[in-house]
Amino acid sequence: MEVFERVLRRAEAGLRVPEPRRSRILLEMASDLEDLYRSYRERGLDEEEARERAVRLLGASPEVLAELGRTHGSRMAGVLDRVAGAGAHRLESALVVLVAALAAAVGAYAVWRSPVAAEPSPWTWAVLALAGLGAGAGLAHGLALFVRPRRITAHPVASLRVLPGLAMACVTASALGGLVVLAGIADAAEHGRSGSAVLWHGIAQAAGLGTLGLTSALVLAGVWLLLRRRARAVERARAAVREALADGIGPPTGPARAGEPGTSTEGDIR
Amino acid sequence: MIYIKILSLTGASPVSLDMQTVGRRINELLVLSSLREEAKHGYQIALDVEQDTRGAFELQHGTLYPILHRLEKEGAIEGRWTEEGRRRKEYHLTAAGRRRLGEEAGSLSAVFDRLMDILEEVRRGSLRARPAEG
Repeated sequence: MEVFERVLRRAEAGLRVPEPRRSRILLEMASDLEDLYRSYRERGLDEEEARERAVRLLGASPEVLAELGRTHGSRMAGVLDRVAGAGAHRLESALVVLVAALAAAVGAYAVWRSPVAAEPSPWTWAVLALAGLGAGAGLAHGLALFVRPRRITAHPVASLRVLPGLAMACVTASALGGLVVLAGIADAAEHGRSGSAVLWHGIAQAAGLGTLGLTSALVLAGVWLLLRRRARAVERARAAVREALADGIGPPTGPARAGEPGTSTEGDIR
Repeated sequence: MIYIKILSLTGASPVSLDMQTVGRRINELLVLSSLREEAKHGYQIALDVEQDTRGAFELQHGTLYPILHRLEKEGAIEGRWTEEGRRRKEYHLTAAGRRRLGEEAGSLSAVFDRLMDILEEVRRGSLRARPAEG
């Protein structure tokens, strides 16, 4: 309904609340406006009066929108709230991230102790550059998703695929580098130019390179896992608002009671 | 900002309230009271507040939402999304909310009883005859 759409667009513009909570509030307003309008119509009010009264009762004023912003706290509080919520409700994800972090720490220590740290090859720099790109992309996506989700125009989950892509590239580059090192050792051995010390040094360098690639990939995968959940939540909430705005008045439904079929917790549209 | 300082019924602990806070607490009380019997959607709460108070209170311009979200954040009510036909949010009173409803009703009643006493004395012209309190 056009008049409700205008009210909701105004609310959308004035509501300073982190996503996906912001979209949930708009969705709540949209469904309440429609239901209130129906209720007034059922009581015999004409269309115009029903619309007018619904907007007067539930059309949020700028002061109300500002108060909602204060109620839902600062952006940083929103971020911390979401991070804590993620840990509480998705133990599995939290454990995977923890394991990834531990593996990354062990990997970083192994790389630091390996010849790769003392004598970095071009392959080492290539893997580090890819990991750096991934870290930058993760940071940019994290800032966009947690701090400025309103400015996201692209499909957030799709744009996050750059992170697993870069993780794969890290592993590939390190594997290629390791193969080149091993091929060099094999070539030297074939021409009788290497002793056991050179052989073991080369193997250690290849292993260090492989560990560096895997460690970088693990870190990027952990970041991707955390951000993907957030991106999905933002997408779901936005889709729900779009659906509500596009549908206008939906089919009449009776109010469901807590615990009945069709009743879900708030987490379902996070 | 208009502040009022009210003595509790025992006269032992004075309570300072600004009128905005009093208004907010009344609104919260009415919302909690509306949910006393059953879970409701936001629009039903707004309608019921108007009906239950026989039009004396109307939560206009979306005032309902900050109240609901604040009460939800404080654990007095709980919101759930339902998906019958389309997504809607309904609220129900928690045990903490039920306790708060009783306490707030008692506390605000005491404040307003005291105010009514004072106003009655003003009306009868006997206010000055009493010794100053607080």
